[in-house]
Parts: sequence; structure tokens; C-alpha cells
Amino acid sequence: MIRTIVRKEILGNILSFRFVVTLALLLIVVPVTTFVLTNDYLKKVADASLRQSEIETYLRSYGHFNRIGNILKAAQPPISFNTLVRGLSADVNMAEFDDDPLPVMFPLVDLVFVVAILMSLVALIFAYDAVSGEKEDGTLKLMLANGLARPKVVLAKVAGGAVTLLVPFLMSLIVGLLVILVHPGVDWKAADWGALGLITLGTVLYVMLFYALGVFISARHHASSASIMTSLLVWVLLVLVVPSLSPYIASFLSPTPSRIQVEREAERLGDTERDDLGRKLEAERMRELVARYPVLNERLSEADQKRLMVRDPAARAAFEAATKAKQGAWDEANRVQGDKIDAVRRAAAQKEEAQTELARTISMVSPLSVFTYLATDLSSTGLRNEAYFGRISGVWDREFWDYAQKKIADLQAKDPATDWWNTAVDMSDRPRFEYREEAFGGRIQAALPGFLLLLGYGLVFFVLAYVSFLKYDVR
Amino acid sequence: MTGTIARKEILSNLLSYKFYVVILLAAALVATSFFVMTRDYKERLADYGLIRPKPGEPIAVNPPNPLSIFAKGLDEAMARSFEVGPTGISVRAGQKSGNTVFAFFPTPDFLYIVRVVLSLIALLFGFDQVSREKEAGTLRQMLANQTSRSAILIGKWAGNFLSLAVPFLLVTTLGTAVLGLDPDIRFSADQVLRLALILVLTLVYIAVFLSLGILVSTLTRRASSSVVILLFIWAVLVFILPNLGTLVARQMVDVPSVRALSEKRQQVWTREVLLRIRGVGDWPSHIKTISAENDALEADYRVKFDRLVKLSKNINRISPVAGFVYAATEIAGTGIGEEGAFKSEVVRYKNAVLGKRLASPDLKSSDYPAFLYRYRPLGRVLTRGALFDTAWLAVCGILFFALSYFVFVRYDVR
Amino acid sequence: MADQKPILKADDLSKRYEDGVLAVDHLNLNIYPGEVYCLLGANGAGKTTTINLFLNFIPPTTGTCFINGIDVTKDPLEAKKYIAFVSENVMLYGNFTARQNLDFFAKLGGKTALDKDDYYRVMRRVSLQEKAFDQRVKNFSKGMRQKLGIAIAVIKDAPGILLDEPTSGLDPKAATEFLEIMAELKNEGKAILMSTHDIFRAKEIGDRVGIMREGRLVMEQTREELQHEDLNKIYIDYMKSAEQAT
Repeated sequence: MIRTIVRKEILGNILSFRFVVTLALLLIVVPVTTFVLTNDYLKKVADASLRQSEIETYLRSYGHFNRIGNILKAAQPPISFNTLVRGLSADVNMAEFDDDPLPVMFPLVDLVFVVAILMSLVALIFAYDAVSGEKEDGTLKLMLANGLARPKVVLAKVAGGAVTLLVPFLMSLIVGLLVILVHPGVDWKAADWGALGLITLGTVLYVMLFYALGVFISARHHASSASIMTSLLVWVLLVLVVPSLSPYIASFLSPTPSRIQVEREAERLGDTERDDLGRKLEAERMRELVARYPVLNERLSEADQKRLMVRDPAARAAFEAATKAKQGAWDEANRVQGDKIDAVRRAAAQKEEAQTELARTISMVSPLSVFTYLATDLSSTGLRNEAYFGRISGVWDREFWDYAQKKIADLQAKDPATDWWNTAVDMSDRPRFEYREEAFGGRIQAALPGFLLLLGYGLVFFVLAYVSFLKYDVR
Repeated sequence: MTGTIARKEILSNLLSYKFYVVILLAAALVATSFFVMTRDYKERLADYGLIRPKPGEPIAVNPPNPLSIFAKGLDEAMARSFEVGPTGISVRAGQKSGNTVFAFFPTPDFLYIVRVVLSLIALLFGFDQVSREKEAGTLRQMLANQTSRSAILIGKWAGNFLSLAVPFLLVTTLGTAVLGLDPDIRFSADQVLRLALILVLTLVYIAVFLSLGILVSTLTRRASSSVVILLFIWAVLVFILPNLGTLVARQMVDVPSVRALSEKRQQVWTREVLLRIRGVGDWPSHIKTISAENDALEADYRVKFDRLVKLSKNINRISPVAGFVYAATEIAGTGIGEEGAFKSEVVRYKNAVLGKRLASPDLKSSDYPAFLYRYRPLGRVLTRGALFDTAWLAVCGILFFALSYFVFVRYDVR
Repeated sequence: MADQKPILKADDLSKRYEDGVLAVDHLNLNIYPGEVYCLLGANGAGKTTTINLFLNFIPPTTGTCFINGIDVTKDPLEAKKYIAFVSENVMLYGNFTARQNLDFFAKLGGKTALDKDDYYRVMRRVSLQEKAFDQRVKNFSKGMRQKLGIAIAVIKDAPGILLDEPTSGLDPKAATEFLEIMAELKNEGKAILMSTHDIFRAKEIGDRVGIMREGRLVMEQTREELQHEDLNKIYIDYMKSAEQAT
């Protein structure tokens, strides 16, 4: 019985106008997007390797520690998954004067975007009249009059509808993949295929969740013209509004000082406050010393001081102690303020993290955010990769620092008077930063909660649809 | 005749529950957007207070633009502070927030609400105008009288446009007035004029999508097929076309990447410094060389970048949505054209600073000229593309309406 | 009556659709003021197409429709001033009240100077319940809707009235009320063309009756002629012979 209904659902959908339009749309959008993204990726790869060779050339000519600061930086190279997913690897770069403004105005379309926006809309377009439309046509009455149990009907509807929806998506995905694989120079590894498989699974959950939502809305209305309105209203809120508002709500609920404020505070602590503290400590210590060595009270010129030091060993001790005390005072001031600055920066970082977490959590009210995080984390283009990249580039930084220290030590061993800051050094044996994507296991771990959440949403909407349909008035 | 029909449309809207839901949604979104973006602006204004240069410092900063509340565009990039040093221009204070979730999703400014939500609403008002009345039989009833088809179409268009435009203008004007009461936000007369222009532009935008909706309605027999076509057209016009165009343009125009540029600058600097260390030439001549080569790099980059922008604009403009975004951001002063002018001004400032430094080498770091960026005058903005985009929008709307008239005259009303 | 000009005139009217079906075949009709003409025929005989041709909803293949002497295809807006139309399923604007619907269509029909009392008077005349006057139409029964449709036609006060299957789905009481109004309008001098299946009522109200079959007017008789014949028998005979012929 269920199979019959499912078959009817699938057939009815495939023969419908909206199926044809969906198929056509996806078959155009997905391959075109992947084509453009693949070309962009290849360009970036070429650019990256060009820059690498230029850096090598540069270092051969200008291998001075003074000069390499801005050149030798850990950089995120393009990864082959960028042919499908953009994520945070977008080219918005506020740290340079010559930044590119276009991605800010027109963020780029990628697979995540296509799925998140289009497929959810498609799911609602297919589902909005699943119940109300059949009621309007009179076929619902007919089905139930033939002794079909309501639970079976709603189950079959959701199953049949979801299956039909996935066909155009999978077809267009396959065509898109063919476009990618046909390009020489794009190298997909096993982990990439694994990630793609899991993302596809995520898509299935995502689409089914929206389909169930659509059926639920349909089962709450008696006219399809009303249910499409409600569906669109819900979709606009869930997909377009909640994600964009979430970081702002988070910043309202969990405010953090802006980075500029933190830097200003650090500057203040490191400059004026440190100066004040230094002077204060210096004055304290000098008071102590003056009590012990009255000679310090006399205001002697530097020349006179020197003469006195030569003549009088006690005076020399006094002046040396004074110098030491002053140095000690300023050292302590630096240390104290340095600690304060660290504390301020740590506190700010913690607050930032808290706000980011809050924003993430709030945004996950929208299944679109959940899916976005899931897909970007699995493909190493999201928040998790940012954190991971931060860690491994930190490791490389330390390695390079150790290497630099060793090189400097070598230089000074040979000639202690070397200006090591400005001497050319052969850096061909330096540790090179190599980016390797995080292990697949780690990425899956990051994405697991997302999967569970999508599944959860789907179940909730299905239950709501189920219950509503059982109470639905078919007359 | 047309007036009767227009009045009927307005009355019909006022009696429908869908109308109120939609208007309430739009109002809530606009209000939320204003609230959220105002806070954002005030925070950035506070930051600006912190990074303002002391008099005489060679630092270029531009205060955040209050119109960014409506169209944020590139304002955050334009509000960074730039320091002029020997290597050239470096960013002193840039990113405001470390909350990376901001980067994932689009900014919910007024422009976004209009671009995405209002277009959908206008489409939904138009899409079943003809097909619904045909299914109901009221179309036949109207045409059994001495009512011309053009009167029906124009009356429907006018009635629905007013139903949309009036509440929208009310909500927006009210919101803006509340904004104006805030003592921290000051709009100059010029900015008020620009705001008014943006509102006019928004009305044109709404009209375009209403006409498109009505066109779709005349082309389909049943309201249910209208919905599907309409949603797809909307998704393509709003989300896909404007963004894809930029990507396509990048394939065709080669622009050096940002990192390549900064690395080249670094190389020039290093080369000159080493020459100096070896004793070749004096410092000022090296600075001049560095500056000249940087400028050449910058000019070359600008030329290529402008070509990219032009091409991507032309491709994007297939969708009236892109035209709307361009026009609105340029009028607000947060668009690509303005940003380019701003960067040129910063470069000019750098040259002035370096010139002064070279002229008097023992210049204290507190005697440099101040930086002041004056936004391009409205007339210039309009002639540099905003008027074209507005006109293009209007043409699209007229085209859609003309097409729907053409189809409607042949429409089978039985 | 014959020396008056006909209000509704079909002159050698034919309509062939794109798929080749000949829906109306050289039809000649003349409907004069003060008469009710009932057009009988099976589904697909061409009755609705004829009405659509008069309303200029489709163009004729050959021949012409005249309303008050005006060629409907040449000057449709002028011609339509002289007719009112009542469709089979009167749907109207569900969210509007009966009066609001009436007001809208009256204005479209050229009557812009009417007030509330005029509308109430017309609605009373067609026997619509008082309490329904300011109720939303979407809750109306079929009978109430049809009465409102007639009210719309009445208020236009046009010399010609076209009705498409007006009594289908009406209960006997409503049908009787309908016939009474038709008689009143006829006596006021309106020319009424009514397409119908309802043989019984056609015989009661029709001054002339025409039977259409496969697009052709195969029979036309006056009330006097019909009195002496059994209309039922004629109708069914013609239908049967049509079946035998095919």
C-alpha cells in the first residue's frame, strides 16, 4: 500500500511542471558554477606556485632577517575542494591597502550556497500543496475513502517527495563533478571523496527536513494559495533573516570590546601607564637608596659623577646601585604592564570566542547555518579549519623562530660583531610551511553535531506533519 | 475605469489577511535592520574616535558614513586607518570584530531587506493577478463590460503598487525619523537628499518586480504554475546572476592578486634599502624611487581592476538586482566607485606626505598635513553610473509591463 | 416585433478552433427587444462558444456578431455597453460583500452615480436575502451567487442580456425566482439570450427556442409552435438521430 502511494507521489512529481523547471535550473546552475569555480581555483593554484618561486628568488637575493618578516608568512593555499565550496577562504582581506572590494559586494556562489538556498526553496515548492492541494483536487478524500490509513499516507508523501527532489540534485551534482574531473590539474584525494559523500548525506537530511516542514505547513492550511504564503514567510525567516541577524544579536547579548579598543588599551598600558608606573617605581627605589647613600641626593652633572665614581668607591657603589635600581624599576614596570596587556588581550579573546560561539548557536536555529557549518567544516573551508590553520601556522612560526635563532647563533659564533639583522643568510634549508588538511576524522568529529541537529530538525518537522495530517479535515 | 479597478485592487488588498502579514513582516524586518545597523554604526563611530590621528600625524582615516546604516557596502573598508610609511601605505587599524560568523552571512542592512525580501513580496503581489481572476471568472465578468484590457492591467498595476509603496514608505520614513532623533547620528542635508534618492530607487525596484510578477501571471494559466516559475526567476535574479557575473568576469580579466601586489611592494622596498646600505645614492632618492614604482604598480593594478569591475558590472547588470545594488551603494557613498576614489585620495595623500618629508628631512612626526576625504558630489555620482542603473531599472520595469500588456491583450479569458 | 432592430445578431457566424473542431457552423440568430431566446443543446454543441463570440473573448472564423448594430470585433468596447453577462459559475470577489461587488461592477458598467439605496433596491429585486447584502461573498451558496450575478446584470440596465446555463445547480425555489425576474426583464423590453440544458424551464420562459447540434442551429420554434408539440420528444429525437448519424 505504501509503495503504491510512494510510486504515485514520485510519478506525480516527475510529470509535473515544477520538476522539469527544477531539473533544468539545477542542471544549468550547478555545472556552470563548478566550471567557473574550477577555473578560479586553477588560477589561484597557478598564482600560488608563482608566488612560491618568487619567494625563493627573493630569498636568494635578500635573505636578511630584517627583510623577510612580511614575505615569509604561513599562507592558506587553495585546496581542491574549492572547486565546489568557497567557505571562509573568500578573498576578503582587510589587512592590506590593496584589498579587493568585489567579494564584499557580491559574495560568491558555490555548492553550499546553491544547496542551502535553492534546494530548500525547491523543497518547499514541492511540498506546499502536498496536503492542501490534494484536498482542493478532491483526491485526498478519495484516497482516505478507500481505506488508506493516514499515517501511511503522510509517510509515503514525505518519502516520495524527498526522493523525487534528490534526483535533480544528484544529477546536477554528477554533471558538476564531471566538469571538475575533466579539468587536468584538479587532484581529488580519497578524503575529498569522503567529504563529498558526507556532504551529500548532509544535503539529503537538509532537503528532507525542508520537505517535511513544507508538508507540515500544507497540513495546516486548507488552501494551497495560503500555504505557499506561509511557507515562503517561514523560509525567508529561517534562511535569509536568522543567519544574518545572529552575529548582531550575539554582539548585543554578549558584547566584546572591538579589536581597536583592545589595541588602544594595550597601547595605553604599554605607554603612558607604563611610563607612570616606571617613574613611580623608580622614585620609590631611589628614595630607599637615597636614604642609604646620601651622595645620590646631590645633583651632579654626568662628568662630575664620573669623576666622583673614580675617586670614591662608595660613591661608585651608590651610582651603580642607582643605575641597577632604575633598570630594575623599569623592568618591573614593563613586566607588570606586559602582564596586564596579556590579561587584557586574553580577556578580549575569551569574550570574542564567547560571542562567536553564541552567534553560532543562535544561527543554528536556521537549518541553513547548520548545513553551512557542516559542509564547510567537512571540506576544510570553515571555522574549524581557521582554528586548525591557526594552530599549525603557530607551530611553524615557532619552528622558524628556533631555526632563526640557530642561524643567528651560528653567525655570531663565527663573528661576534656581525650585524645579524642585516646580513644575508642562506635560507635554503629553512623549515617550509606546508599546509595539509586536517585529518578526516577530526573534520567528521566537527561535523557530527551538525548531522545530528539536521536529523533532529527533520524528525521534529516530520512529527509535526504527521500529527497535523492525522487531524486534518478533508471535507 | 482604470481608477475604479485600481481602487478595487487596493480595497481587495486591505481586506486580505495575506496583505497584513506581508506588510508586518516587511515592517518588522526594516525596523530590526535599522536597529541592528545603527548599533553597528555607533560602534564603528566609537572606534573612529579612538583611531583619529592627532593633529600632524601622517595618518589617513575617514569617519564611518551614517548612510551605511542603509547600505553598508564597502564602508567598513573605507573606515580603516592608513599610515604612510617608507614602504608606502599600510593598514594601521582594520578589522573591527573577531566574530567570524559575521563573514558567513550577508549583512542585514536596508539594502539587503529591500533587495531580497521586498522583491519577493512585490513578485507575490503580482504573480496571481491575472491567473487568479481568470480562474475565478471575475476576469470574464470585467471584460463583459466596456472595460478595456489596458485599463484592467494598468488599474491592477497601479492599485497594487500603491498598496505596496505607501506602507513601505510610511515604515521607512518613520524608521528614518526615529533614527534622526538619535543625537549620535547626524545626517547632513546632502545625505538626506541621497537618502530620498535611495527611497525613490527602492520604489522603482519594487515597481520592476511587481511588473515582472504581473508578466508571469499573464504567461501562465494557473496560479500554481505561476508560483514555481516566479520563485525560480526570483532566486536566479537575486542570488545567482549578480554573483556569478563577477566570477565570470574574473576568468576574462587578469588582475594581480592582493598578496602578489604586497610582495612586489616589499621587493621594491628591500631592493632600495639594500642599495642604500651599500652606499648607492641618498635616502631621499630611494624614497622617491620606491614611491614612483609603488605608484606605477598601483596605477597598473587600478587599470586592470577597473577593467574587471566594468566587465563584471556589465555582466551582472543582466539582473536588475545588480543595477539596484550598484546605484544604491554609489548614492550612499559606500560603493565600488567611491571606494576607488577614496583609495586614489589616500595615494595622493601619501605622495603629499612623502613630498613634505623629503623637502624637510628633519620634520617632526607631528607636522604632517591632515587627511580629509570629500565624498564625490551627488551630481558626479549620478553621471558616473547611478543614473544609468536607475534608468536601466526603470527600462526593465517598463519592458516587463509592456510585455505583459502584449500578452494580456491576447490572453484567453474563457 | 420583426420590424424592430435586433439587439443581438449573429450573421453567418462560424468558429473553427486550432485543433480543427468546428464549434459553430454558419449560425444565424436574431434576438429582439422584449423576447427571451433559449438556446438548447448538448455539451459541446456550441452554445458557450456562441456566447464567447458575442463577448469577443474569441475571434470568429467567418461571420459577424452584432450588438445593437455594432460589430463586436470592430468596436468591442462600444458594443459591450449594450449587454450584460451572467456566467454559469458566478464567482466574484470573495473578500468583498455583495454590495461591494455590485458597486464595482456597476461602475465598470458605466453606472457611476449610484448610491447604497440603489444597490439595496436591486438586490431586493432579485430576491437576495437582506442579511446577505453586507456579507462576504465567499460564504454564499450557489443560488445566492447567481442572484448577485443577475443583480449585476440588472443594475447595468443594458438592452441585451447574455446568460450561460443560469439555472444549473439551482434548487426549485431559486429557479422559480429566477424565471420571475427573467419575465420582468423581458417585459421591460430587454433582449435576452440564454443557453441552457433545462428543457422544462426553456419551454416555460422562452419566447423562442433554438436547438444547436454540432455547431448548427437545427431547429428554431416559437412558443405558439411549441405548444402543439412535445419539446422533450423533439429534443431527444434530435439527439438520438445525432447519435445514429455518428
